[in-house]
Amino acid sequence: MRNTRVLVVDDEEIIRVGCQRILSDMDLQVDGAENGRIGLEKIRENPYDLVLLDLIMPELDGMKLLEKIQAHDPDIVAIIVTGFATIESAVEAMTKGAYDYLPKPFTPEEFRVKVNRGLEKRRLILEARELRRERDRNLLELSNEKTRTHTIVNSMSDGLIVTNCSGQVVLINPVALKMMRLNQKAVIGKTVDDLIHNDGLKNQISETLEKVQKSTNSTTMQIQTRDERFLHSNITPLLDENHNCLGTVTVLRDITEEKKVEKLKSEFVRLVAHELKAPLGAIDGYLNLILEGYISDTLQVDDMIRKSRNKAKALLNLINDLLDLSRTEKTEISKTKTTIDICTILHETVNFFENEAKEKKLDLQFGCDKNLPAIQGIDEEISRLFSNLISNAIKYTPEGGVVSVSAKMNDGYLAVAVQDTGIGISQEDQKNIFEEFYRSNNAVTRKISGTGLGLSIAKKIADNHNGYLELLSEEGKGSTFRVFLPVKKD
Amino acid sequence: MAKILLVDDDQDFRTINRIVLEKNGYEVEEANNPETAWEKIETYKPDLICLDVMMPTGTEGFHFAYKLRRNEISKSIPVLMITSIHDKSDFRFSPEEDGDFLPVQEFVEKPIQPQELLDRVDALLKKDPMQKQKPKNDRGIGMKKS
Repeated sequence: MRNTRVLVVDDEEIIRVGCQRILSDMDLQVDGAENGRIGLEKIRENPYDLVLLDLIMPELDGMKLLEKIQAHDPDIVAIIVTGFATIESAVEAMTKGAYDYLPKPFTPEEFRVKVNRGLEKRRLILEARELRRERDRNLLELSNEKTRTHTIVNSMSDGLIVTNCSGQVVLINPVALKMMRLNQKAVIGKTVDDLIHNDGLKNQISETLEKVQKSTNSTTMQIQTRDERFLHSNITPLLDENHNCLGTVTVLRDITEEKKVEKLKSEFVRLVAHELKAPLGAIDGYLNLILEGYISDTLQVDDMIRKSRNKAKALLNLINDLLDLSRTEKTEISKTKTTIDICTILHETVNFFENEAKEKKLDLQFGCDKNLPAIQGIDEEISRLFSNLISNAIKYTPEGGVVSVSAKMNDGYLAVAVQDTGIGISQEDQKNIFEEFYRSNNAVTRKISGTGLGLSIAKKIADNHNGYLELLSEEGKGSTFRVFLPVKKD
Repeated sequence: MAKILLVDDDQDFRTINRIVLEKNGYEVEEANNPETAWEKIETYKPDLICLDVMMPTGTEGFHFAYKLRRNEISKSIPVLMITSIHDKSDFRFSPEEDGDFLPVQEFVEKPIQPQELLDRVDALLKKDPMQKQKPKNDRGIGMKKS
């Protein structure tokens, strides 16, 4: 601890030096000043605990010095040392903030008593100041802590619900409100029973509260909300240091997207299992028959080999579809668009399907308006888009039907229509038809092999080109897929 | 000569297994849907039915098997269920444990190898007390790998 410092301000040298000697004997660090001005200078330069000052001094009198001391640091203890003639001034000085006064003449003992009392006062002042500072610091920390907790809770991407022991909600963050479709104002203070409509979650919180004394383990479960979202909940009991119940903390995480990926994955596995295994099973079966000597007729052997080859080709197509699908998903980084003449691409694509159409006795028609503007695109993707649509049209149109492909301008877009007189798509199926792996399931489509990927690839390609796909279809009458692509602006 | 009805919507599967069975002395009829299968059961009176559970929808094979068990004409005909259902669902069936649920005598997964098909068919026909006629033992062909 630093030395206690005292300043004696008096123009009478005898008194000043005398006082300084007594104070030094008291183990205090003492300075002297012969007038108010020098006294003030010293006070401004050094941290004094106690100042003894005469009232009547040249240059700056004691009363003015006292005011300056008060302005500089009101916690410095000032004791007025004065003659009887100025006792009234001493009283005035005390109203202005002086702690005490010592009338001259005084004995060393009287002086020591006054100084000690003054120093005691100073100690108390410092102590009080320290306590005040500490309190302020605590208050600040508390309010910081509150702000911090508030910010943490509100910026969490998980939902948070805190209840007290009677199941009343005491804290809920915006994410949890959104997940539970609740309104902030109507929530705090209400019970879980009133607020949460999901029985699973409600019961889980109640159970946690019931056995809070026995178990401090958190429980987790998956719940499905009324709006078809999936939440993962984790509920932990809150206890104080004496293991008394304080309530529960519930953390909710939205796992709807994970569920979607899971579903997609199982659909993919299902596709691989069936669409890949069935043709491989057939290939395996035919090869077994041939190798194990079941077939003697070479024509029949040829037929089986041909069938196996077709199955193998279909498998390759499926694998290509799958690769295409993942390829169209990362188009933007890997490929650059060029200027494309749509009629040329359509003509080539239609030509490619001519034989297939002929085999099925379909009338494959093609018409392209003259002078259509060019588009910006990736030509292999555009060609893939129309192959998928034309191939579908041929696949789902019974013998003798018509498939027509036409291109024209429509409201700033290049519109290509692929129209068939096929089996059509039900209203129900139209909603999902562009989803990956989705296939209509009815007596006709079951006999037609497909991956359920063609249309989702087509849609992704249209999206990649800032275009869109439209479907008009009636069951039993046919379907029209229209592709709208933005034209290149010069 | 034992008569076998193959019920499956997969043409390749029917063709392949018909050839295997016929070469081994069985008489074979095909049906590609439950309706046709019923007609064949009434007119053809098979000694054994090979049934695909996924045909033509996920559960139709099961329903068909129940129907077979409840019908006077068909309830004594053994059913060999050949299916790839394990690939499509997480369920695993066995005739021992799921007897009531799955009223078939045998349950095998696709793809089935010729010898396995023959062994199963043979075993089922022997086990069945209603079956008096046994298949002709002329398996010169198709037995190379036994």
